Amino acid sequence: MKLSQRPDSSNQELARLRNKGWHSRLLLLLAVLLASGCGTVQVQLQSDFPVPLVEPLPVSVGVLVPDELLGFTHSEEIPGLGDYAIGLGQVPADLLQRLGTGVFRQHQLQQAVTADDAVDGYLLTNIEEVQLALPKQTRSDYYEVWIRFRFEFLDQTGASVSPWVLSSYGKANEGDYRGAEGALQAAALLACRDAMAFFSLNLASHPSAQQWLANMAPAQAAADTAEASKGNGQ
Amino acid sequence: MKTMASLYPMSFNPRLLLRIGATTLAAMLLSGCVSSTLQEVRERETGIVAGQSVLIIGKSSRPSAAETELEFINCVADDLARGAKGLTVIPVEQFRDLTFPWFEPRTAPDKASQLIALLAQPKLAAQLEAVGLRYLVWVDGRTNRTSSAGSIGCSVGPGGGGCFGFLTWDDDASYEATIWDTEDGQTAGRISSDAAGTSYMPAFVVPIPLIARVQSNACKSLSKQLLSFLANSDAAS
Repeated sequence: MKLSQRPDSSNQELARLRNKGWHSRLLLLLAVLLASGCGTVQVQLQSDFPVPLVEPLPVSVGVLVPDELLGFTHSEEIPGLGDYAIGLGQVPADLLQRLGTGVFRQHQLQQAVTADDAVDGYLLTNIEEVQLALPKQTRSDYYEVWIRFRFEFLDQTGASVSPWVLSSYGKANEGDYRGAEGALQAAALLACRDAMAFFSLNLASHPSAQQWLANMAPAQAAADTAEASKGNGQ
Repeated sequence: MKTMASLYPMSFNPRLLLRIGATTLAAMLLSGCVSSTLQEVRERETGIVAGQSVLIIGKSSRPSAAETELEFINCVADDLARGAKGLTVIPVEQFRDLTFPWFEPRTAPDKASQLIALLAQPKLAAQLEAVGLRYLVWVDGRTNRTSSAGSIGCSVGPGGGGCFGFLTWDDDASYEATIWDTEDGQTAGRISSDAAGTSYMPAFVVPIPLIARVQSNACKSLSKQLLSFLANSDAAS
């Protein structure tokens, strides 16, 4: 029998069943949402970092930005709380550009070491690990992000001189943002700023960087480096 | 020619008087009671002139530890800048960008005595000079819910719905502002503002919140005292 040929009572029954089906679908959707925590939270970082206000080191540096750093995404499933993904996008390139402008007398962003580069050395940056913590996990009001950067100092030929592993931290109060996305984005950006701040103030005095700078700096430049180190010391 | 009633309409309009009275009563009823305490410790003379500015900044360094609410920092900054006697207050985010990386959570100075070393940085000193920063006010503290009790139940039926019950909670706001003078790199003084209050929410069909504005009260007290402290108006009067 076609639906249109049903008597009125049947049409009412069909409407009731349809309503029941709609309610069932809604309940199912709610159950799925509850079972999977809060679903997936995806954060794509966008940044506008300031240039560090420090005395630049008297060196020309090739700042290497590898593909894996630009496309870096951290994904994590937190049991009972859902899936979380933080994509850095162009943020590392922006961060290194501003960092290079403030910290080195001259710098250039490049993907790889080439033979005709007129630089004193290279700085290769990678992210070793990202961790995040949610307010429900820590029973606090804060979304927290830790990023472990690995800075590799390379000489003029691209050979590794020394590494510097730098852990950075950022947190954002959930009450200051409308949702998890906004708070996680703020916490991740603060972690990036934290790394920039610590790097720019401690580069000249860090043992790994001192070895690198000593190798590439001639006598006058070494004196300038020592001066910049003294000037930027905390 | 104007009549007396048109010249003084409020005095002769009982309906309007009733309305104003009812509004005032409702406003009084709709806010819980708040008691507040203010303490000031002055360590040196202060004063601020045209072209000088103030920064209100919250402490935030440790993982997971509670820090001062951004809302409170903004409230104090807005209150200080308001009015004819308002001060020039630099927005904290703008300041952090202008002085990056010296005032980030991990790199900001802990003690006023560290200011002298910071001011020896030529680029930073020039930037602080450009923004005219005279006083740096560190705000520490927060508002906490100390207790809560009661319950409210709501139900909806074919004939309508409603809520019945009673809720009450206590909030405690405790903040301290430490004022650093950038001219001599010394602490100029401290002001603490504490406020506590109980909020109620009786529900007879419709819930009626009687909110004690504890944080707002602490903010207003602190900013009023800060304004007086920085301008040194208490000493002048």
